[in-house]
Amino acid sequence: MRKAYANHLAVRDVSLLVPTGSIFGLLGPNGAGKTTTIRMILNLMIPDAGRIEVLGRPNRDPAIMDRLGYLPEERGLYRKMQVRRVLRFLGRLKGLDTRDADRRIDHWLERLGLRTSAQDWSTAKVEDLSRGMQQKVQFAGTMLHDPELVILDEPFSGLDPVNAQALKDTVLDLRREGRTVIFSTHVMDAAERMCDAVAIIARGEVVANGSLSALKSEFGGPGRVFIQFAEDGRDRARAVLADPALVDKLDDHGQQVEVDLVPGVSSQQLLKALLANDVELARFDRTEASLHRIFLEKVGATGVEPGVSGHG
Amino acid sequence: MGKLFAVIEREFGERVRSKWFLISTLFAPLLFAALFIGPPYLAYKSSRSVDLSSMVIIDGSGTQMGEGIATELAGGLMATGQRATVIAVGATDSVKVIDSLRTRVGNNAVPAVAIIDGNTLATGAMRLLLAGGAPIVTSERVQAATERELLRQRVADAGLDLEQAERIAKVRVMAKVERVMKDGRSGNAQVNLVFGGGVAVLLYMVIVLYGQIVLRGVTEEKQSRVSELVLASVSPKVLLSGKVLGIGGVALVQLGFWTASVVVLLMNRARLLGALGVTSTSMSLPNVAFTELVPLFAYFVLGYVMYAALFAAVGSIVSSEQEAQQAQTPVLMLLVGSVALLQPALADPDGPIARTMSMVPFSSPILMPLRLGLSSVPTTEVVISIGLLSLTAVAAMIAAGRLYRTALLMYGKRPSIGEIIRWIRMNE
Repeated sequence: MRKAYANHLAVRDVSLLVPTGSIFGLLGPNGAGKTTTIRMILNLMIPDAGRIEVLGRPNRDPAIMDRLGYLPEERGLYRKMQVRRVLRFLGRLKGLDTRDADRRIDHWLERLGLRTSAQDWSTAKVEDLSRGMQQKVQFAGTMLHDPELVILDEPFSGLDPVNAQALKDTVLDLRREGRTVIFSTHVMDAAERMCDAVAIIARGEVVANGSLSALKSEFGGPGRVFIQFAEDGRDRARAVLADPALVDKLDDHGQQVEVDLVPGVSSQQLLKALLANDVELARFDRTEASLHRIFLEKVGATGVEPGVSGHG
Repeated sequence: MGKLFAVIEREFGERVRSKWFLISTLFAPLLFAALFIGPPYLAYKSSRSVDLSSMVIIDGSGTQMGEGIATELAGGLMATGQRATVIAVGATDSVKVIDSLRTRVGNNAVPAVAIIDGNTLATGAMRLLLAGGAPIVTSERVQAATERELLRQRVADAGLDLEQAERIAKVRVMAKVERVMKDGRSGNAQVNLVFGGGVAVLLYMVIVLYGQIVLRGVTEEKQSRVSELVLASVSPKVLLSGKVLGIGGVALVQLGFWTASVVVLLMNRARLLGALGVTSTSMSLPNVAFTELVPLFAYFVLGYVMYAALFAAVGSIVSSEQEAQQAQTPVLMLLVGSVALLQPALADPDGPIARTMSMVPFSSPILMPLRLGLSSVPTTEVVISIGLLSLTAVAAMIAAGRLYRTALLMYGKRPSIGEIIRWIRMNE
């Protein structure tokens, strides 16, 4: 699909396939086109060109809407309304009747700790809730109608570590229940631990796409080594690391480095060269590439909007 | 359909449940009551409160006329038992007495001094010195009392019965004006004028008031980013129509309550004033047939829908409430322009200005009800006018619905006219 705004192309020829029952990460720096892509999936925006199918139906089919749950990046609820009335409204918009909605509201508010024997927040006004609680209410609204496909736009932004962990657990629960989850983020750490598959978008284009394991083996493979030096090992290794016959690329963290070997060179050869220079090592690891590194590599300096940092 | 109903119910329910609704709904009838009951009651109160027991009558006539006036004054509405002081003077000392009292009047120590002499009985001429703080009605009361006393004396001189004489003296002419229309319908001209003008101004007020509520509702929803959430569940068309219908429902409930309270008040005005001790003529209610209310209702509903759609469109393209205040100016101008035409339309309800503007959809919801009240408008004109208004209202809703989809998700810079037109064309 493709979408242009007045003065720039937000999404150019993005093509994605999200496997049913998986957790799919939509990664990319700010301004890459993640939110626009999500809005087009949800039929909030109409693509200039392209075709979108959701759960096997064209996404313009109104019946599809009831099977989707959406948590927008910018959270917002009717501030003056009672929590229960807001949730009832959101539930009814997804085709639930009032009584059914009430039952589910109780379930979710209890699950998220907003309705305990000590305190029941369901009768409070939204504006009287803390920000964290408002986010929970909104999440409950997303999940109320048991959606088969859940789309979360930057779900971790603005969450404290405790709530972020709780959200991760809930998302993993969703997969266990057989639902499909798409979430966008630039927090690589969360994506790496949760996603079955990811797509990396930069400048409106997909620069990497596939299952996490496939991406990692494609990107790093056996030719990637993680080294941690001890003592003055870093200085002694300087010549080896600079050797173009061995090292293709170097990600330098000081006492730790990630090395991409020149194709055909084994990690054994690198280790021999280091030992020959009497380099003292704390760790020598044949690793997979981290998602963080894949992201930086794929997006590159050019994929980041000027003045905006793309890593998370 | 269920989703549309959910939106309508939220818009209606949340507003009806708000304190604002309760206060404004109940406050308006109190205001009406104050308007209908207040002025006559206050006028009555202030005329009663004039205390003339401490006034002075300087009688230079050499008769008992001064005493007679004092009795008339005391026997009036104010039955305090205290009487005005009467000083009988001769021709020589009258100037001195008047001068000394003049200073006391100036100091507000005496509210009024009436000066009568031999001439008064013949010509009715008298002088009255009023303190700066004395109410205007004082002079009327003194004059009325003097008139009665003079009449009594003249009647006595002529050897007649006072009551008989009063009946002969009081002749009042009152004309009941009735205007006859082309279709033979008749009505009280003044009542029709008040009714027609009242309905026009009421429709204007309701459209502005509730248009603003629609505008604020849309802006708030966009600003709080709720609209993105809602649009992921329902189409922009449903959200827009639900909002307009829900808020329109609130308007109908409020307007209905207000109308009913005005009718009840007017019907019981005389009784209410009577309970307060004020007698008054009852105001007649306009004689309006149910069939005449149907076009009025149509103008209200269609006019509201059209303007609500315009206000909603404005609300969707702005990003903050301050911006909304500026951006709504063109829509408000349309409304204010229509009200500015009320004056020429009142002067000549069947003139070219009134006839043309009651066809134009933006002013017809305000001007046509006025014309309907004042003159008999041909049915074809009403039908064409309502037809044009319906088409415009539907077109405004469709355009606003299309604009909604794109504009509600656009933040930041306000779009240009060109962009707005492109957005309207873009969606379907």
